[in-house]
Amino acid sequence: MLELKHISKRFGQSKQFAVQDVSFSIPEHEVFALVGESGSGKSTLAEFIVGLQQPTEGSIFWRGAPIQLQAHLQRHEQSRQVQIVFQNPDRSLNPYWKIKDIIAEPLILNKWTKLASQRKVEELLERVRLPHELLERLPTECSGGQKQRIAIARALALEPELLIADEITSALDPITERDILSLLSELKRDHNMSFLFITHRLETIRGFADAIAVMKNGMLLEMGATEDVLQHPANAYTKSLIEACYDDYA
Amino acid sequence: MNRSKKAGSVIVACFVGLALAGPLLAGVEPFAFDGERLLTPSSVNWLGTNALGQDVFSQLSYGARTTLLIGLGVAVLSTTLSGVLGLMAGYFKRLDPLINGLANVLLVLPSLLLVLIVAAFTSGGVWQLIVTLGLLTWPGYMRLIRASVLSLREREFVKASQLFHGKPSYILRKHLMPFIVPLLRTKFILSFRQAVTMEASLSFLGLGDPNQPTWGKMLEQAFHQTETWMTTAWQWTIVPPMLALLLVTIGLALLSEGEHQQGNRLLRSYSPSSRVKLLLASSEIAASVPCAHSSVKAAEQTQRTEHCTATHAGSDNAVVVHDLSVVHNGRTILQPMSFSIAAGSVTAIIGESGSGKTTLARAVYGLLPDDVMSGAVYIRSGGTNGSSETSGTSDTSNICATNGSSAERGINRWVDAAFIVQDPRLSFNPLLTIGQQFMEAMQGTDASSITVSEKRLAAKQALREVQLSDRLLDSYPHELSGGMLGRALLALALINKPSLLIADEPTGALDPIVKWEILNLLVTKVREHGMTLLLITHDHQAALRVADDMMIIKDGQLLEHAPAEQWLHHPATSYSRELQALMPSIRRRHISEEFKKVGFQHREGCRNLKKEQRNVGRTT
Repeated sequence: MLELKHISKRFGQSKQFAVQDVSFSIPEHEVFALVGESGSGKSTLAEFIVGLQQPTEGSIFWRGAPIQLQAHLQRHEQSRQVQIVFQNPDRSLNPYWKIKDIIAEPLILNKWTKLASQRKVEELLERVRLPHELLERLPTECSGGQKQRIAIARALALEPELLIADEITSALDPITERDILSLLSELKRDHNMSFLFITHRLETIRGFADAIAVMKNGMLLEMGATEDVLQHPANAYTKSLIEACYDDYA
Repeated sequence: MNRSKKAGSVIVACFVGLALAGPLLAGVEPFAFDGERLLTPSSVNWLGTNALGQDVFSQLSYGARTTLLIGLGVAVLSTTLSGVLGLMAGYFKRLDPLINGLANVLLVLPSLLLVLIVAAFTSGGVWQLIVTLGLLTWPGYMRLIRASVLSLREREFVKASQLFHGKPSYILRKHLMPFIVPLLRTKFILSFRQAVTMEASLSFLGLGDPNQPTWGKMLEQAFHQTETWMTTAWQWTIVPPMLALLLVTIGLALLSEGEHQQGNRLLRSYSPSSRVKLLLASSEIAASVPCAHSSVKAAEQTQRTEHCTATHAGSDNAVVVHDLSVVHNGRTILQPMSFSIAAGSVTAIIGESGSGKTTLARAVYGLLPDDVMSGAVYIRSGGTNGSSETSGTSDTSNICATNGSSAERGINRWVDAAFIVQDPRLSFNPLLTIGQQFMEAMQGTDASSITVSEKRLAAKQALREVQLSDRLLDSYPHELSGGMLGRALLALALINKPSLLIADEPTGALDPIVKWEILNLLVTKVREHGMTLLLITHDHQAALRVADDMMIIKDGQLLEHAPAEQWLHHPATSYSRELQALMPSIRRRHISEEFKKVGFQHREGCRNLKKEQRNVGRTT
């Protein structure tokens, strides 16, 4: 579905890499987890995929077609199919907008009529299990978990096939985090969606991610099926990461 | 609307009324030589006539028109330019050097000189003045707006909108405009005021349009007539236009002041809470005089004292919280709670985001204003002198006083208690070196007489204690990694050996490996120095490993306060059970043993990692 081939990004002309020779692919209907400490280049990869940044080397393929070379129209279609939810819910929602306008934004920008988008917003709200009263509120009047659900609803508005979740639960407490994760599992089951799940918390992905890749200093250290990597980490860093997160492996 | 804004709008509205209705009421043309020279005010000439026999009220009201027109014109032009150019310069990287360069050129030009030249060459017409002033006064606010757009542009909602193919004009209008409207409002009023004074000065200097009645020209004429000062004529030829100018500028100043206050209401300063006080030495509490002795206190106070002494006497407490509640804007954030924390213990405060954990911590540290907080908090004094330093306080019944009227001193931050916030990267001032920030923290100590070199020595020692090189004192925060900053922050908190350390999610922003490293160090150091730690976290797994006591908070209510083992094995509430069910799998064995072991293994892991990093560094 999505394939990254030898992606690198360097700062200016220097020899320092933000991301160095990363390749992986995400099959259809799978959850792919990207794990690593802050600053290891995970979010940069996400920005390459949605097109907020360009890699200096390598290419990204969406359903076999390289996304950098696509014509404008196709690009438009591809960007509909891949959506991203950002880490910090406070920064990803405009504090001056009402919730209904926030969720409707992608619809309005895609020239939906007012009535149709209103109906769609209500449906989306139901899908992320938020109460109806929220529509008239401002983001500052919602809790962190609600805000993240709103951001998810906005990303779902155009019915994407791949959702990139960039540390969406790292600012949340465990109970809210569990609820968000079960929401994502539900979306995966009911809508056949794929996920690129970026996190620095290994404990969140067990039972949710199908495959996992561990990154450090912009390099891909290890990649494999989730349970394989968790049970038999090949890399010392992965091992210490797992130890820090799980008791039963310690 | 606050008072200054109200007063300002009333004054400005009066002059708008004068400008609109005045000329109709006056019934005389401003330049008509109708009456005698220098007539005193009467029912015909309300403000008398000037030395040429022209009606002063008519001139004043027509002058108000000119003044307000110029003010409005300049304000509209200048504000629009600042707003549009600021948005464009901030959002479009290509336009930025152009617009910013132009602004810099305009900022260094002497604007008064330019205005004088233009006014002199164009005979000072109203529209020429509006255009000149409008074109000259936009750069200052343009730069402010540009700076705020530069940071707003990086917000994720802007990125999201770009990904939905929102056009720049759409993003600027819908997303960014709301943020800069407050700036534009202030700019509008300031430009208005500037234009009014500028126009008056120019007319007074004789550079205005001679065919336009203005206040400045009225003053100029009056000042040039010798009769003005020989007779009482100054009372109606000079005072009215002068007063009008003064009032309009004051009215506008009040308006902008009100705007300013409203914009900054979140930043308003407050004195630290007087409800947080030092706890007296524990021995004194135990031996505290019976409550009946506190004869000065009212009966109600005595009762409370009795209760309090009964609750907390005898125990060696570092923190005593009595009936603390926090209500803000009618919303209850913390419901009344009383608890005490034993000295030298590690207490974890657990709860989901928004449950009031941080509010509780801020209340204990005295960071909340008095009007939202009720109840009392007592903290044991810390610092190198130990708790004995408050022994001079005589009235021990003050332990339960709920207001700040007592003679006790409030807590001394960084000395009696220290507060570590969530992100170590945000806790250091980026413009000061680590060393400078250590010096700052040491200023609060009573031993302020120690020399700089001694302080430096202490700082070096503190850094070594958290396994950091003392060379870091001269580095800036951005040169350090997240983990190093976490350690440095810890050293900073430890430097005065406070009796209480409050850590608000100290590891929330760190990845798991660094998280354990910092948490490990934190608890080790706290235990080593016999300090008390209040650890606020939503990571109850980590909390369970390090804490002696657990406090569970939900919706501002203290649900449970129990020793960690007891909480783990016999949770009293269903919420606690739900929390425990979420833990990946915790070995229900002896917690501290477990902690030591994991800490050790973790250090091993780190060492391996460092080796590996070094190897990688060598090969590349």
